[in-house]
Amino acid sequence: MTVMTMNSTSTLGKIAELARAQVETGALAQPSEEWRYTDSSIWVNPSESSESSEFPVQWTGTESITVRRASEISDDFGDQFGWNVTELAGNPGAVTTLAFANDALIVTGHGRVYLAVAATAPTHIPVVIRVAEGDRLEVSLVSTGAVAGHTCISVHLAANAECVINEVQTNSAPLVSSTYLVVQASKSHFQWAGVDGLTGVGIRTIRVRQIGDEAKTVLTALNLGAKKSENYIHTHVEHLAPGGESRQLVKSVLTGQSVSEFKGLVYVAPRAQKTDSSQSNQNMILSEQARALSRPQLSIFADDVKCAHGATMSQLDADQIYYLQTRGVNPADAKAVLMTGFADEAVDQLSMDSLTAIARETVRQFFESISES
Amino acid sequence: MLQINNLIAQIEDQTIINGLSLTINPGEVHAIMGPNGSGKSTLSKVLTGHPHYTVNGGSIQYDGQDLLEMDPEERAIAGIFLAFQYPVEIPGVNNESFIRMAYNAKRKARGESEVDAFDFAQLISEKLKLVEMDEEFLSRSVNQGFSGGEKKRNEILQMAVLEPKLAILDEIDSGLDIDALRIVAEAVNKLRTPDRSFAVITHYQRLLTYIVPDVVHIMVEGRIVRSGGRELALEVEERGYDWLTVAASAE
Ligand SMILES: Nc1ncnc2c1ncn2[C@@H]1O[C@H](COP(=O)(O)OP(=O)(O)OP(=O)(O)O)[C@@H](O)[C@H]1O
Ligand SMILES: [Mg+2]
Repeated sequence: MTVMTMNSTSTLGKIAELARAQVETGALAQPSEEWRYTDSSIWVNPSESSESSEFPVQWTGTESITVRRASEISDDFGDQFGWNVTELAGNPGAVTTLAFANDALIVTGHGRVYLAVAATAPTHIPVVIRVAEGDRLEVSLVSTGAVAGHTCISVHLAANAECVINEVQTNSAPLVSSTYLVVQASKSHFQWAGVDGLTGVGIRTIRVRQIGDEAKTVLTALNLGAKKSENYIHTHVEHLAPGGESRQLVKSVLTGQSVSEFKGLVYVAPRAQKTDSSQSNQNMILSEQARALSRPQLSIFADDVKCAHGATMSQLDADQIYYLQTRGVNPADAKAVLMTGFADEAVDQLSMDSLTAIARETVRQFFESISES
Repeated sequence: MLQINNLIAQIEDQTIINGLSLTINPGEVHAIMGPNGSGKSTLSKVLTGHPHYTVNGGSIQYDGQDLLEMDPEERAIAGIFLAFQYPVEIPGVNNESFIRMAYNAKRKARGESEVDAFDFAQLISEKLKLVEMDEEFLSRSVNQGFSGGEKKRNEILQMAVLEPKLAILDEIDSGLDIDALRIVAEAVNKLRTPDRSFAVITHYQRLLTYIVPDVVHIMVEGRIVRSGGRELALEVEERGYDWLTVAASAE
């Protein structure tokens, strides 16, 4: 096992250790009662946090979005954790630099917000997203710093609320991790699309709880693994009410000695009849030493449900390359087309044009670097 | 246009094409018939350079060039087109962009400028009419989820766009209903020109009543065992291949 080169006394070091421990033991994918009710604050407890770090948050949301002090939330959410928060003031489009220690971002309202986090010191950022009844909120998250960072995003969706999160991670930090804790009320819709083009370790832990009827969850990920990068996607979708739907698609393209792991659990509670869920993990392995681990799991306690899961491991298909060649396309272009086609299914899920452009460029550069090597 | 001389080709240590000779002149339509497993599709794969087949004897001249020295994409650019017996599905790749890419690959090789998406949309909508295909097929992934007949039409659509010099149609009639067969055959006939050649592989002489061949060849065990006019197709339809198999092995 690789040892993280990180200040082990820092909070971030602990988080990284915790994250790695969870990855190693698979703790997050176990359906045990124990962890399901574990306080998520182990991820976000800022009382241990001592470092202060600065980073700009670019806020390009519409005016109806507020990004503000945690303590303003009526249920004393901020106070609960002792957060010391700064308000993101100014006009949409303004770039605000936050000095981030014991701080949190609270995002409410409806519209779009773009958070570009460029950390200069190890960061640990709690983000709380609250979407009120009938509102739609779109959040795009990008980290551009060269240091390790962890974002813990908690999403509360009221009835009929919709939240779309786009996360594109492409920097060279040793570790970029994000943890999502999503709670969905009835008929709410949560969509997450993520692209991981990180050169270090990327960890996405997504836990969704559908507590209301007929909620819908769509999770789509694309991982581009090269050299010694590691990518972990752990999902845990809990259908706790009837008529819920969940779709998970995790795709990886792996070269070099990269590793990618998908561990996904779908839990269907006894009362969650008529649940319709699917999990698909598709890996394209382009080198001998790259590894993909796939562990889709189902834990079903209701009888009238539809749950599909599957995983595929493949290389580029020789017949597809040949077919393109018989149409005049040279092998290098043919491979690029096939790989881009594989990636596009996930990239197309991103709902913000500027981010889609970043993702496409990342995919393009990734494939270019493959064809050169 | 095409001269195959005493060709021997194998896949995985198994010799499939065994001393095959065939000459196709510009503008001619040749039908190739023969029992299952006789090597018809293998011949089409060897002609288009499938990497799994190795040639260990004989020669193929195309347009004065040594075809076996050329990569599959060079053969395509030089004007060879294969309509696959089993067209390949390519998930995630848009059908229209795929056909445009093929079209532009040819243009680029000729030193012409590439055609943009807008101009190409006009070009292809003309060709769609030829095969009576719905626009909807352009926005889908290449062949993915297409029915057997739809895949075959998509092959002919590509042929219409790419305008090859030599088209090899491998069982273009299999899986087509009666109307589709007529549409596809008419499309092929419209693409016949004084210098475009066709090799039409089929099991049914019905196709040959639409696409009338100049020569009919019967292939058995990797060789052409008999060549003749249209009446040969009728003869094998009536008598089967046994009499030819016996004649071939007696040689
Ligand atoms: N990968 C392979 N390994 C070994 N034998 C093969 C392989 N692929 C094809 N063959 C054999 O080559 C022979 C010729 O196959 P081919 O597909 O060319 O026949 P065909 O004449 O096109 O038949 P059909 O009329 O059924 O389409 C068959 O016996 C087939 O089993
Ligand atoms: Mg065949």
